[in-house]
Amino acid sequence: MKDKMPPLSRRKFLKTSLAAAAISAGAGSPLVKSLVPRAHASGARPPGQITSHYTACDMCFNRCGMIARVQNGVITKIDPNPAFLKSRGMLCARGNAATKHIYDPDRLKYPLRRAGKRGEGKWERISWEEALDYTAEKLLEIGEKYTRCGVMFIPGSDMQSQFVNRFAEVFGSYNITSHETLCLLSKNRAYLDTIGEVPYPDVYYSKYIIVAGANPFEAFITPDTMDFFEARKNGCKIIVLDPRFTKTAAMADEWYQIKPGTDMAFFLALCHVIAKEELYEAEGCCPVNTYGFEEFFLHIRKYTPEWAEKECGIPAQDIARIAREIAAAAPAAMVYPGRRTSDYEDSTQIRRAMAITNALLNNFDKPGGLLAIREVGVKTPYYDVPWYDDNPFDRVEAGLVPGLIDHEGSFQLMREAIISGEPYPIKGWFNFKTNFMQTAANRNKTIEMIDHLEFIVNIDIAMTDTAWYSDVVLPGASFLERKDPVSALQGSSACACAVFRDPVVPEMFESRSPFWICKELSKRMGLADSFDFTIDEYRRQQVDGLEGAMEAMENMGVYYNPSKTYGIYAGSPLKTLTGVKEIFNQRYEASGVDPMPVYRRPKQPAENQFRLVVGRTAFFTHSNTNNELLTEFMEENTLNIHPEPATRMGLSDGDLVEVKSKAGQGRLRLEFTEGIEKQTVYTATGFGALSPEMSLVHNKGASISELLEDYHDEISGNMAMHETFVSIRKVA
Amino acid sequence: MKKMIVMSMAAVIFASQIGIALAMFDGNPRKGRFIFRQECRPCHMENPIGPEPAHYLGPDAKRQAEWAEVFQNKEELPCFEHWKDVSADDLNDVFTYLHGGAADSPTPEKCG
Amino acid sequence: MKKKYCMVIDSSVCIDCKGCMVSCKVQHKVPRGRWRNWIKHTEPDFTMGKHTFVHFQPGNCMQCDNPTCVYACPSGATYKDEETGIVHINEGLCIGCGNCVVACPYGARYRHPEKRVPDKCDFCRDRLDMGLLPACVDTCPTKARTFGDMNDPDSEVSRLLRDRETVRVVSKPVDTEPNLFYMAGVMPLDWPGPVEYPAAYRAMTGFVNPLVKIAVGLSGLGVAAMFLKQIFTSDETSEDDSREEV
Repeated sequence: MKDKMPPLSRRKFLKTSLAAAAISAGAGSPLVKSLVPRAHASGARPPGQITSHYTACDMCFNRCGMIARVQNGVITKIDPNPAFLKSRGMLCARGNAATKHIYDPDRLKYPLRRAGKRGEGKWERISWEEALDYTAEKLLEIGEKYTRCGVMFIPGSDMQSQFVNRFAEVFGSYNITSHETLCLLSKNRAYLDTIGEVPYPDVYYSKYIIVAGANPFEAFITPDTMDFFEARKNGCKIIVLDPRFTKTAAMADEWYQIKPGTDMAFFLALCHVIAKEELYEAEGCCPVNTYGFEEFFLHIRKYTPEWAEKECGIPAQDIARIAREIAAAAPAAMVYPGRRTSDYEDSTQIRRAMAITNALLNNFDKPGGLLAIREVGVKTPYYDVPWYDDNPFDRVEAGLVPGLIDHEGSFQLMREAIISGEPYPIKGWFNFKTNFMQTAANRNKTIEMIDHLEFIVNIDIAMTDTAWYSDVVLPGASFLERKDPVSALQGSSACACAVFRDPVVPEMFESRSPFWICKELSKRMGLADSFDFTIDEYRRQQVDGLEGAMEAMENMGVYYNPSKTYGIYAGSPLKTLTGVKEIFNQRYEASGVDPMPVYRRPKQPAENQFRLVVGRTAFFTHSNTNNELLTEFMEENTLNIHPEPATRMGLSDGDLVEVKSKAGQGRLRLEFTEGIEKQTVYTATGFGALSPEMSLVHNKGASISELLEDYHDEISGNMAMHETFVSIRKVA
Repeated sequence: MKKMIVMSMAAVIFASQIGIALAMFDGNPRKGRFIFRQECRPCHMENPIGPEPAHYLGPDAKRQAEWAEVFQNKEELPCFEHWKDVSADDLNDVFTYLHGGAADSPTPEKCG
Repeated sequence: MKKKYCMVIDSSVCIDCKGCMVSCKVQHKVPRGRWRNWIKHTEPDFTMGKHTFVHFQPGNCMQCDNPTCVYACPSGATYKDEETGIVHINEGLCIGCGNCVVACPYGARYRHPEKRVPDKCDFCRDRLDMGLLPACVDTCPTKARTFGDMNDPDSEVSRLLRDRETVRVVSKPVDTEPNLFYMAGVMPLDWPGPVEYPAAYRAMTGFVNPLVKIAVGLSGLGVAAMFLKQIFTSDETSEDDSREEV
């Protein structure tokens, strides 16, 4: 086929040249079934011709490698980078829709200053000069009046977030919090406290996987989502526990409609069977390489499969069988750690039960199990931080929960502190690309917090709900217009890699990167030294000593570090207090926290009430819904409900209902499905926007932030989003 | 090897006050961070710029017991001359910072 | 050597992520509400308990060897390219009658609201010219779709067709001989509709046995159409010269 010149195609097919991928992939890695472009185009091209540019996706947090095709200065198409192993050479619906992210008619075009009341929507256009002068003045003023810690910084989860973080630190505030405090903190806490680090699941080589409290086929975690299918081709069994019939459930070998919030019962019973029947590996696992196995053995005596069946609704014999099957497949077997774990007040303990199950499977640092953090080799350029003697001793929410992760904090607890003014006032908010008005439970409380703030500056690409309530809104450049620093990534066992971004097209309108904004502000605030560099200089420091890294990123869109994948610890102690896997956690005990997970029956909704659970589809990331290409799949969110209770209440499929919680209320259309537990209802995130400039989702459906009540994980301070009960009433 | 783990376990438990909060000792870890970056990091960063370039050091470079040991036997360090200029209070802050973010601490911290 | 492009689809790994649909929509600027490709699915039967499942099935124009759309086209605008096996639309010849849209039992064609001509999957001919895979194939996360030339015995599709049991999803009344092959076990199978020919054709061939009508009358027209197409479009690849390699 390569030799002929057919009339239709005068170009030869480039037969899948996996050379690039294969070299760095190493033996055993799956090959990417795709074509690579002929050349990485650069320089000026005559009009009409298509040029290709490597970049990394920003439609969620996975940073999948992509190739943007540009024609006449416009990005016309985005394709996956086939050499990008972390995403297995794919691009999901979100990534494909990035063209409508950059060319969104709702994009902010120039700096704005609030002219009316907050949320009223009156704005005046100002120049960048004025916006920066004004912002610098307000930040300094708050720093002067309330100490530097009087400004809360939320730097987002972006490749430039490190600059916002740096700006916050050189400004002198340590009240920096993150999106992660609404997301994966509970899981991180649980694994840190069990194996001393947050592992990556090696799905590809696994033979048995239990997925609980996760929906990887819709949430898209690279490369896990794709690897489930490769694993299955090699005989891996996938068990899914979910109150909802998600797409992950729909394609599992077995799906159990577990009662919400009872996962811990299932896993304790699983451990019960594994321990009692001595299915663990006595030589290398228990009790030798664990701490507290004997105590645990006694602790779980009462957690029998029969007991668990009554709690979680999964038949005892299935629990026992699954325990035997997974133990037989170990160590190439795992409980999938999940990602968003902001579910319950005891989410850290629920995930601890899963982490302990993994400990009994002895799968850490082994193929098909959980992977230790690999070396990528990207360095963090150094900067000086100032010290202000008048700054308070600690973060504003320090000590409110025993397991606060210092560099993450807890947005929810900060919000409480800001409202109460205790232990000290916070009066400013510097926000980048985070939309807590749409994503954080109890929006009314976020508005109350905003009422206590004197100044809010927001960098974003569009007028999000959070921007809508800000004082100064700065138009950010989209990821396709920016020059970004190097980002280090680990893709399970597929790779440890690094990527950067060069602008695919110039910044549109008056939009600017956060780097530029921080640099300009620092000049006006006497901090110029801290931003006295270019992105190129910064990158060079980042990859200093990594031979060929810069060239690989330029020529292939990604650099792979051939660092060790398995056996990283090789006998050296784990990063836990005891140096081994901690089934019994002594720090917990010292802080008055259950040292081993103790099952607590979840609160139950009253009759005609429902537990509201939330989640995401394969095509939206959180509140990133205002995209014309993606709303075509879902124009507004609905309320999934089981037909049995609904019919009993006289409700029909498609009815418009008012959904009410203690936090707020909203209107949603009912969508009947038998694929949901009978006392549970579900809705998707990202709708019911307050800002009319989110034109596709404004007044469409209801926002989860309006409906969810604010509970938090008692250990980590992570948000707990599945503790809310709602009542439903038909709208006449 | 098993024995080693047990021994290091004992050392760790002995050396560290068990608690889950970040600040384990009475110093000010944030001030400690500031001082560490001022005094130690120029020589101990990934790309050292200080007068006597040395290997990377941040809180996560050692375990809590190892930090305790470093501070107990500080006289033995090649850079001890430099330590003399740092006050006892400041040293306590630095120790609190390093110990609180050590590799085996509840929240390991890298010093960027 | 002539090519015969086809797709072999392993629908058992499709997770209904919509990646192929957005990729296609962007590549071909397909208007809102219209699609060149799709993902069908089965309905879950919850009485199956823990074994309840849904099977997703991605698809697009099947580039049939017995293309009812080509037969239905009165102007020769729709034709099957002998060199590639791809069914194309020459928009310059199209009179916008819409016959081809209803003649496709798979609903693979839609009428473009502005251009007033039908539009459908062409296996991303422009991308093939650039040495790229079709947009849906390239982007697919689980690589459910494999694309290639079945005339080339060394191609991945030929290998799959040889080594694996495959089936086609076919309209019951007319076997259009599609060139989309699915791994055996694909579901659902009952969705293709009937082939509807326009009233004028029915009148014209009404006195003949209906079977002969299809076999002779329309295929004759189809052949004529192919011929016309050859006259009008033989130089259609010349634009290729200006296209930049990427």
